[in-house]
Amino acid sequence: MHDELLNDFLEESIDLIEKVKVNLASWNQQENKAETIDNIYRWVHTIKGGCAIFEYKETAHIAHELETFLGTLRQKADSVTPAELKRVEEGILAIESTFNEDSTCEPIFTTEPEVTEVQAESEPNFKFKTEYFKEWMEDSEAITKDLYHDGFRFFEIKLPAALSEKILAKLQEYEVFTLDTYQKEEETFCLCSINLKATPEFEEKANLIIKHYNGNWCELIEEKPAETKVDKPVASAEAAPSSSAPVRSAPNAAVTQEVLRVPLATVNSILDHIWELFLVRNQMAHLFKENKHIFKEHLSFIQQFESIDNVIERNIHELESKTMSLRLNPIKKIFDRMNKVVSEYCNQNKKDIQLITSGEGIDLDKKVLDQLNEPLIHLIRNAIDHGVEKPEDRRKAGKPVKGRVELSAQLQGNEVCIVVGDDGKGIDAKKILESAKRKNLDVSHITNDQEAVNLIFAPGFSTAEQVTDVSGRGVGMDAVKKSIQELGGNITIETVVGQGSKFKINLPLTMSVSKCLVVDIRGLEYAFSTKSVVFVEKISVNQLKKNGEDQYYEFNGKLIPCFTLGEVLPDYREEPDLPSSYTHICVTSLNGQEVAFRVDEILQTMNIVMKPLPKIVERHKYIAGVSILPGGNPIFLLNIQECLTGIMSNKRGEFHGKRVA
Amino acid sequence: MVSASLKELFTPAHNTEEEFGEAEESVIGLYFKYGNKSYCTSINDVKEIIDFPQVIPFPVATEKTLGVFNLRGNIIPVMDPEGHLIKIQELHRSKAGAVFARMKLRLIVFEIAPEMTVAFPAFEVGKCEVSPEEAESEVSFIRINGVPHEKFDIRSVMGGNIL
Repeated sequence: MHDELLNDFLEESIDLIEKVKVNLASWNQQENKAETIDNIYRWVHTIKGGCAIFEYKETAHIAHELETFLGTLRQKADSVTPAELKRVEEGILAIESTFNEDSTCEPIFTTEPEVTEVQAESEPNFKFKTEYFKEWMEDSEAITKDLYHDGFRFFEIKLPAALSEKILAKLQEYEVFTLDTYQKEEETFCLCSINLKATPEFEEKANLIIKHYNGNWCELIEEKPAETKVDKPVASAEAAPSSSAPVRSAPNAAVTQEVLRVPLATVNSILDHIWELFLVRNQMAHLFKENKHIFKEHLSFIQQFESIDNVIERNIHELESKTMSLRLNPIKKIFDRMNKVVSEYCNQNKKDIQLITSGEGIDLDKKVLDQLNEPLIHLIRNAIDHGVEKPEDRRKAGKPVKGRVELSAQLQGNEVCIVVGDDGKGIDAKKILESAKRKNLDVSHITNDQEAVNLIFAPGFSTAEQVTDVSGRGVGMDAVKKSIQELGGNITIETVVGQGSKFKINLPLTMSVSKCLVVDIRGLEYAFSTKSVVFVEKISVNQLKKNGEDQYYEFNGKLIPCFTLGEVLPDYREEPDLPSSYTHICVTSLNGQEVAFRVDEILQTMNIVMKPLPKIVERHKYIAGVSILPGGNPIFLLNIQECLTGIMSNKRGEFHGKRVA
Repeated sequence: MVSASLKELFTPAHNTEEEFGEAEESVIGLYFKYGNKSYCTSINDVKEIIDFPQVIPFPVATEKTLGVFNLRGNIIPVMDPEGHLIKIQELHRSKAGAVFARMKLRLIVFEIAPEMTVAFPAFEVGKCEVSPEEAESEVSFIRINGVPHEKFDIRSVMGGNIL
């Protein structure tokens, strides 16, 4: 897991550095320079946080200095001088160079020419850089022979001492075994072995390791064997590595699954083509249907055509479904990162905290997931740094010494609700207000505690006495709120002094998959999340109880109000006046109350990836988004809660109107 | 519907000699009918012209949007700013290649900005040649076969809807 986290961090940092460079390069064209500086400040802050986790101490130090300098520029964004910009650029280049230095540091797998040959009888030649391992091999001749016959290969690596522990742990993850190590000056030398029979994708694995720590492929030091006595071809001369080429061995899918990284744009492009294929197939089917009479004498042709068409349709659906799934990632991916964040920060802050996660099974579109990462890290950092008390304080407060940080995700109607909570000291509204006043923030609009607490989202707000590697500059919560809003969501705080805080992030299901009911309402198809409903039933219209115009449905032995969704939706029925003897009832929860609503027909359930409405289209509270049905037609997704609220509001309006009349 | 500065709308066509047998610096336009009037627009913003697809009407009242359709996986809004083209019920029942009032209805797909594409319903769509003088003129119409066609700028038509 560690390698994935580190890889993600490096990728993210490189992206952020690029963003900074682009923004600096186009500084003169930037309309909102204050926002640009804020963004750069936030990105550098994120890099710094990651560096602290992964112990890039030098980089973290540079980032900290740069961040401080950027802090001064935030006060005068419109009058930043070229010299100051140059300094920022130098800072970001310095950060970049430290990553590069790390990536070009002493190769793990050395191929130094001055090697010493160690010959095992009838065994391959091994060249080792150090005399130490030559002796080791001679001393352990029997062991090495046995290992070699079992398909093991040996190589020597040289590691920077500071990183050796981390790298060795990683090697174990990749089933690379360290036989012996010794340290000399600033370097650690290791004799490693890997079982090629067990792990034929060694080259890929080794590459992964090296990418994380070196960035360069370095060849193994093991020589091609003169004679091999291994049993299986996979460990034969072909598979054995040489000094001039990395290990190449026959792929063995049964052992590990190969992974291919593909740009998102490519996946989207493939989807475009699939949908085009959908339409063409639909046109073909339509054309055939229209002209079916021509082939009425050739029934076998019609049957064969329809059979082939069914296969094409099914395969297109399958293809679309599989391709769509490429864009989805489980939220677990982020949650796993947070585990790492918590353990690292706990070490730094000398706090004992347990992270409790739930809802990891929810899938989110990669775009949403990527943008969610940064805010969640900030919230977790804040929970640890400012929320959960130190062990001695918790003991005094009668709380368990081990603090709790909760991270959960839950589908709620048309939204994903992510909660970051802690059982710490909570947020004291009075302290927040006082701090805001000291910082000359506008507090004139504050009328209650909740509004005071919300001041922590104000730009530049910070109550921390000390600016730490983790948090305390006030940039975090401002950035969190901005990122969430960019995703079309919102963030709220629930806090009780002495008991803890909960940050609730509500995100629209934009670009995320949800299981939906597809229904017909007054002649048009709509979809809504199955999370919106707790029960569905097809009933006779007579089963509904009436009181004047109001309808009630008997659910679990009690009558609950029943609304007709069609009341707020247009009528596209070809024969609108045709009465129906049955109806479909869905039961949902509205403001804590069970209510039922009617739809004309429940057509099917399906997994839907919701898309936002086109930018140019006016937004409406009843419409949560739009998606595309397997047949290629768009379908609108309803916000059931808003529709029902609208119906109730209309009814109240009518009622009051009648009373006034 | 007419933009005050339409000069930029029309750009010199590439090698018009090949297509029209003239060496003049003529420009290529697109004429079409919308409602009961004829219009001419530049091809600069036109992404493609397609047969009228199945359009899903917008379920709540909007000022300018008729509905949406799927263009290769992209949800494209169909605009009817004048609101007099076709009844929405007819639109809902329309199928690909629909014919309204005995005329073949098409959609002109405009790409106004990146990720901002709109479709505009139109009849009798065709390519035309516009003289540079007429294109650059401040006059609000262009003569095509002697018939005046109003100059059409999609950005002006969409007005405040363009972010």
